[in-house]
Amino acid sequence: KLQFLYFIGIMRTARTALSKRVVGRRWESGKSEEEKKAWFGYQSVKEDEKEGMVKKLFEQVSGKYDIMNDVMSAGMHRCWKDTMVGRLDPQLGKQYLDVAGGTGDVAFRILDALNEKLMTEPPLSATEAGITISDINGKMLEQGEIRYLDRKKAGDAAPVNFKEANAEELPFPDASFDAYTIAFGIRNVTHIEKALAEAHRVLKPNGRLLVLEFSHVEQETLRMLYDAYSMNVIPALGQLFANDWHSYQYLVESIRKFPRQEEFAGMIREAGFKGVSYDSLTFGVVALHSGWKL
Amino acid sequence: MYPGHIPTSCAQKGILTAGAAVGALLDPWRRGDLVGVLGETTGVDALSGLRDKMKETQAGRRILHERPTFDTDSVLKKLKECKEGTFGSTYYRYMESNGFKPSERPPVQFIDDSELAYVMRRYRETHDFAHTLTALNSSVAAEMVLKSFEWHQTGMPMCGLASLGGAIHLNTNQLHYLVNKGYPWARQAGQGELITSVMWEEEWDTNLDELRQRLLIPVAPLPP
Repeated sequence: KLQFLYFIGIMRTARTALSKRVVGRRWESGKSEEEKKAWFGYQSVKEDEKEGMVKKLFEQVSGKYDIMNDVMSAGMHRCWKDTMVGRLDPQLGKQYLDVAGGTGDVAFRILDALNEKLMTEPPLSATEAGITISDINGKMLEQGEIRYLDRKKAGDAAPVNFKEANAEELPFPDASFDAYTIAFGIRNVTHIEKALAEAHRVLKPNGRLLVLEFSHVEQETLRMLYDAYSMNVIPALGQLFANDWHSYQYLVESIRKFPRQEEFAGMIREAGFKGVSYDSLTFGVVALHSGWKL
Repeated sequence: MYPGHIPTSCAQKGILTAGAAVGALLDPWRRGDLVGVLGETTGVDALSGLRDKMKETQAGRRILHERPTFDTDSVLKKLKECKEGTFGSTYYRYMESNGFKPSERPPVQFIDDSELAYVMRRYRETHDFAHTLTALNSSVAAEMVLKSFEWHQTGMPMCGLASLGGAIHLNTNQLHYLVNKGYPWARQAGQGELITSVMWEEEWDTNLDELRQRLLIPVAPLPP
């Protein structure tokens, strides 16, 4: 009887061990280390390479980022960011996080809005206001810091902090921000779902997510014109203005690879956000997605 | 087609041509790369003719076959050891005093033929050699004279444009120099040996004056 039990035990162990290996193989078969790929524009690269490539790209463009934005959007990025911050409707005494916002475009607009509020509303006492700018790229943050020094004033409604951080793994405690904004940054993230999950984590209850990103133009004729402009003109302008064809080629391609409005809204819902909606701006060239942590 | 090649459509080449021409004229000091872009988008026919001219001599055929290149800084450092008065030492001093590095030369990107891309690359490498030979410096007037010389040799439209267009940055004295001394010299010197057919890498220790006589490319009159 003892021998029989031993036999059963060995069989069980063997079967478990075997099935684990089989299951393991089945899991990994679609995603072995060599096969984990990501899109760097139209280039298929290894997942762990994309982060480095994006980092290097932004290191190169950091000094000419404004020119790049103007070239990519024919100057319209200013209007889009205005719309985003208008939609955000910043309030005094809140904590704001702007991710991938190294150069400060969105953060400074938030600061300006808060300063304007300060002039008309009495300041809320005993509430901490703050704007945090995070970016994976130190050079971009440097640009932001330089600009902040130029415009910093004693009576500012909130201090601005700079933190080098990866959107997929934010160095902030849970529930520390009232709003999380990201403008033209999320398409550069290797694992968008991770960034959205992190956004959900660091937001306080009732916190808001706002994502501004290049999106898809539905109307066929306009899309053809837009594509023709993007693919033909933008990299050439990148060469002319910034002596850098390839970075602009990547940027144009990464726009095409990014999920459409509805699909992206689905990803935001999957990350736990409620009341997810989006607005297409400029015929869908850009979309502003919004979600709430409820 | 070759490392660094960027295929471009006609429309894109048009945009690059227009933009590079304007940009290079407005800021030749910081946007020298645009001069290169302009050369690439407009120079294919001329390069083809230059390549054919090179094929007519044994020296030229050798260059096209061996495809020597000079784009590493390590060789430049060695030239410091060359004797005074040689091509190598004068070239070294020219590059050092201007802070130029062979590795910083803009790469050829927009030419859609591998052999012509090499000819363009070689032409670009020899530009600094030509500076050394002719003793022309990097001022706008001197560069215009050098471009005029290169236009006579290569027929590239960019060289022609550059040898004329830079005039917007010159004063009357310099314009006088250009018309009375610079251009005539360039036409004469342009008849000399093709700069792209010379195996420069074998001439480091050659006495510079001897080299000038052999190639029939004399020192240019210097701008005011």
